[in-house]
Amino acid sequence: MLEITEVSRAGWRIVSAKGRAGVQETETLEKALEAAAATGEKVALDLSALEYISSAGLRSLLSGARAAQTHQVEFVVCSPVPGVRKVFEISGIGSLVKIQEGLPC
Amino acid sequence: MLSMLEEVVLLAVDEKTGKLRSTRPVGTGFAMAGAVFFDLALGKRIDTELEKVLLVSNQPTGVPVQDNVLSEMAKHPELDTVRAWIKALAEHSEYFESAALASLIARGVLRHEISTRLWIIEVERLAVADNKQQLNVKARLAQTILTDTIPDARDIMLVSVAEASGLLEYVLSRSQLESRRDRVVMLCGLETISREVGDAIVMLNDEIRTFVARMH
Repeated sequence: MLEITEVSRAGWRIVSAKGRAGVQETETLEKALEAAAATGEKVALDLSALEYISSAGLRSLLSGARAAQTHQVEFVVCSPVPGVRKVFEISGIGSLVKIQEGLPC
Repeated sequence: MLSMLEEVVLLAVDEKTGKLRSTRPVGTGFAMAGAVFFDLALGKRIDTELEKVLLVSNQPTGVPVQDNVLSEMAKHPELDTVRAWIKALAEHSEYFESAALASLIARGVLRHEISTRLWIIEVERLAVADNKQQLNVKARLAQTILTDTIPDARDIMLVSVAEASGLLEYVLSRSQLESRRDRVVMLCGLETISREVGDAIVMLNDEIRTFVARMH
């Protein structure tokens, strides 16, 4: 189960993901990130309430980063919890996507 | 659209000789197993974690190779790691290869030719009947490796399978590959399936080296 909430603030579209990002949730996450990138605002994906991410979830995140690249907007992943951070570290996804602690605004 | 398995087998077809080629035959079996797993992941039949593979749905895909693997996975729930399945599936690489070739011939991408040499010796070869697909695979590999853009998930998978099969050397020059080695390594590390394929190849190479050292 994945719950998405969005808010615009100071030129950023903040997409907050809560719950799990597995194969069942990929479409929800991809659509939310693509729609956020299409607004033309910079996109921050807040993962502070995301408990789990699988390989399919990682692909959705990359898909969102690709959408931001297409729309030429900045994309940043914020505050992953330790379990999700470990997946990021082992996969090396930080080479393609900026990951930071805390929101940009 | 071709499957990942079909794309990598097509890439292996040498247009000049009509034979399948590889600079890393040891890795090819694991790479083909990885390709089938990627096809199942793209079809949302499986998902993977850092080590484990999850059978999400065993609803048939309509592709016999993939459906046979799904059926085996449903029969063996005790095998729950990507590594265990890659090793098990690699033993069926000849089946994967021949199924992919048959499908590529049926699609009109490849043509099976038999010619006669010295009047009596029959020589079999694979001819590329429609080179658009092979060129497309090569172009996507080159684009994914030579640029710093965020690639499509499918192209990340393709790079890792082509690398494990030793096929990148037929797409890019040695100097191009050397200059982009870090990028290839990074792309091959992104997916659990490709990390496990890479580890399985390293382990097999170690076993071969140990065996050869004992022989001497």
